Amino acid sequence: MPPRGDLLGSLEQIVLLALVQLGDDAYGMTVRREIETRTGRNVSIGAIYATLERLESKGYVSSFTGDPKPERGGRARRHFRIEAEGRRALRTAQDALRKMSAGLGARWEIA
Amino acid sequence: MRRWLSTWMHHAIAQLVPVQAFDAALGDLAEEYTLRAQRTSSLRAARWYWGQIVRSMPQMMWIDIRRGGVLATFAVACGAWLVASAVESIADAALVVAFGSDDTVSALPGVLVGLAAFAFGGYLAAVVRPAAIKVLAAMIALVVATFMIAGVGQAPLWYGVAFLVFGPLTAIAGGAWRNTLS
Repeated sequence: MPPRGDLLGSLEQIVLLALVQLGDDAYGMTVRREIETRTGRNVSIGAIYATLERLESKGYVSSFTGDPKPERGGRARRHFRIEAEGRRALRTAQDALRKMSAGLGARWEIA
Repeated sequence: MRRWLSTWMHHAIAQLVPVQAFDAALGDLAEEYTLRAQRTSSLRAARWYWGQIVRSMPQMMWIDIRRGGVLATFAVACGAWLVASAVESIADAALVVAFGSDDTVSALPGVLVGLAAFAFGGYLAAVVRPAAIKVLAAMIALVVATFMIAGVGQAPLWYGVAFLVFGPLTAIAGGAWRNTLS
């Protein structure tokens, strides 16, 4: 169970969901593109890495470096994977949102 | 974008962001640039690429500062600032002895001494904690801008502008010089 005071921020949730969606193909570029495609949000690669670093320091994700690729100017990919703690934190955050929005009914409609 | 300009800009970025640590991010941008250049045009892809770099710089610098420990990095930057200020004060006193207290005569050497002191501060910061270079540069810009806005001292406008523009740059250059030597 994640610490009670450590509710995930919106970008943290979005990035974790992108990792779940992408599975083994999750690295900086695919995460950024996944978010852009699904939400229309043009997030900078710096924001993606800053979020992933923060999540990694909390133990919610882990990373490993692949082999250098010529199409990347000889640079390697840094792959990310969501850990069990991260899944738990994500579920807690999603549950909190669901509980907070339950019963809103007509008030939830945007005019 | 012309290759030499691109190379020069990457070199400039390397002074602010630890490029080795952000190799993966730069690789991601290079990979997406290729895709975008095929889909649209190389000009539009280049605009997107450099837009991403500019938008990502603050976060990348912040990651670097966090990695080094925020408080420790700020402490090192403050220490480098104090040492640079002490060096500048001593050199300024020597200038007064050499030129007298006539501001119009000693202003230019004063700027040069001040900038050299900031470069020294950047060098010192890089010795202890490289991430402190950008904090020092930001501190210089903030303090000079505050002094200019508050109208502290009787210095002419060009004097303040010179420190505002070249102060942070010389601190970064001092740090870059140290990094090149090591």
